[in-house]
Order: sequence, then structure tokens, then C-alpha cells
Amino acid sequence: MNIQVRVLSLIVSLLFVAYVVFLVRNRKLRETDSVVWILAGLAIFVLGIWVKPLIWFTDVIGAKFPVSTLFFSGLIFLTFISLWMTTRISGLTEQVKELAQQVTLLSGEADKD
Amino acid sequence: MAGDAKPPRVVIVIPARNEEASIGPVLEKTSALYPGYDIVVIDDASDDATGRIARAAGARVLRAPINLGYGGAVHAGFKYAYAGDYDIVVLLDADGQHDPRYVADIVEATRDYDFVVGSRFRGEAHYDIPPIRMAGMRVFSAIASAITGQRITDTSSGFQALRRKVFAMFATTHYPVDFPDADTIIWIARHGFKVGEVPVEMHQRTAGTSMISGLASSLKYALKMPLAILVTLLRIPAPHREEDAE
Repeated sequence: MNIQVRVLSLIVSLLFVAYVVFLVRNRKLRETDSVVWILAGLAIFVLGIWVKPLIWFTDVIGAKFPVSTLFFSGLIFLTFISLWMTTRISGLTEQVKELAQQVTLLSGEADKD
Repeated sequence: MAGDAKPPRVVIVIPARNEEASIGPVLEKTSALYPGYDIVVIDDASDDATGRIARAAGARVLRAPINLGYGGAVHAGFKYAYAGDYDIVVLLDADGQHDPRYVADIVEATRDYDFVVGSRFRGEAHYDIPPIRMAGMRVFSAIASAITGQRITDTSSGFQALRRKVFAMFATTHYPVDFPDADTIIWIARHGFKVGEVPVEMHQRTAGTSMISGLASSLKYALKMPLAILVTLLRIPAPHREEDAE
């Protein structure tokens, strides 16, 4: 990988981690939910400095360029993240239904009084 | 509060999720020792008979329709105490680890401190804690001590007492959703509240499973806690509210 790509990935990953910390600080993101994003940012940072694992993995999967390995891994990561997000939305939908039902029952109780 | 003619109104808040095996004896002991204190159980959407047993034992039970998590249940307790004009909240675990005998010591210490932690490492007893977890607890206690300027030995103890101005701050703003730890103590100290510890004895769990168990959750704890401490230091403390002054 050439030096421009590496410098760019270092800068982007640092800005990214700083932004995640900023979001947590302002309570836009929970600590627990931020861990996966911070780890992803740090992984990109580490691969920008230490390219050996990336080159090794490029050989293993038979890709031509380390950059394509990076894109491929990124795509897989994002696919899993969005699947996980969808399960979270399903969970939240279920919780909202549960809460609405409880409020419905309580409004009936309040009417009795 | 020292010098007040009227004794403080104390509520013991017990967050409980699936603790049917231990909640009965905990409530029996606690109400026998402290007939003057109100007891409220936050039943965190238990699947078992926790709520029914607690009600039968004479406690006030608030049932969450969905799982709030430990922090969410405690936060609900603070909101209850805030609305109910209590002076002091004592947090007690439902699993029998906290010996209710020490509630008196913790409440007594609120004369000198705004926030009191019952520490199992100040006393003489020894605890069977996995070495990795113990190392983590040491590190976070040292960080909390350095930042707050007070010696903190047990950041993960849920056996606590809070004076009104402290739980009012949480009731009207935020409280950590999962297990509150060193970050919460630092947050309290950063508001200028006085933090203190008293020695307590804790028992090994009588039933159920611990909130922090398994390798995955230990790893998550090790990653999350430094981050939580970092953002706590970056945040700006909420201004004190006039109406919550004591």
C-alpha cells in the first residue's frame, strides 16, 4: 500500500474515533453501543501502521491488492452491523408494543376510579 | 441534616430481577431491622414470582413492563424517591449479598457524606473474586481515588446511600443504563458532592447468576469502563438545582 493511502487511513480513523467519543460524551450514543465502532476505528488505525496482517490476509483469500481486501472486509463488517441494527429495531418495536399495551391497561384502571 | 429535629425520611430501594429464591428473606430481615424505613422493590420485568413474594412480604412493588437493566431499575427508584420527597435512598441488592445489618452504618455516614458506598474491601473479610476481575476492580478503584481525591476501594459495590441532592441530580438527568461503577462515583464527585465509604460485609450469592460473569462480559467491562471514565471526565456537570438544596 502506498504512503498516501496509509496516511489517509490514519487521519480518517483518528477523526472517526474522536467523533464516536464526542457522540458518547453528548449522550447521542451509549457507551456499550460505541465499543464496536471504536474497535473498528482502532483496527483501521493499526492496519494503517502495521500492514503485514493485511498483506498476509490478501494472500490467504487470493486477492490481488491489499486495498481490495480492506474494501471486502469493510463490506462484510457493514453487512453484519446492519443486520445487527435490524435485530435491535425488532427488539425496540417489541418493547414499544409492550409499553403501549401496559399504558392501555393502565388507562382502563384510571377510568375505573 | 445534622441537628435537624426530624429524622430523615429513608427509602430502601431494592432492584430485583428473577430473585424469587432470595427476595423473601432479604425483605424479612430488612423490614424487621428498620421498621421506620420504607422499602420499595423495583421488579425489573421478572419472569418468576419475585413481585408476588415481595408484595406478600409487605414491600411496595413497582413492576417494570420491560427489562430496564440494573441501572434502569435503580434510576426508576431514584425517580420514585424524588417524587416521594424522601431525604435518603439506600440501594440494597435483592440477591442476599448485601447484609441489611449495615444499612444503619451507611445511613449514619450520610451525616458526613452526600454519597456513601458500602465497601467490602475496607473490612476484615476476604472475598472469592476471580483474579482478572480483581485486577480490574483495583485499577478502576485507583483511577476513581485519583480523580475524586478520596480513597475509594470498592467502585462496583451496589450497596450505597445517596442524599436527596445526589439522587435528585440523577432523577432529573441521566443515570448509567447498565451497571454503574467508577464512572458514576467520579460523576458524583465532579458535581462537588462529598463521597465516602464505610466497611460492610457481603455474602456470596445465595441464588441466581451474577450481573458480571463470563469471559465476554469481562472483556466488555474492561473495554467499556475506561471509555465510560473518559467521557465522564469530558462531560460538563449539571448545575445544582435550587429546589433540590437541602
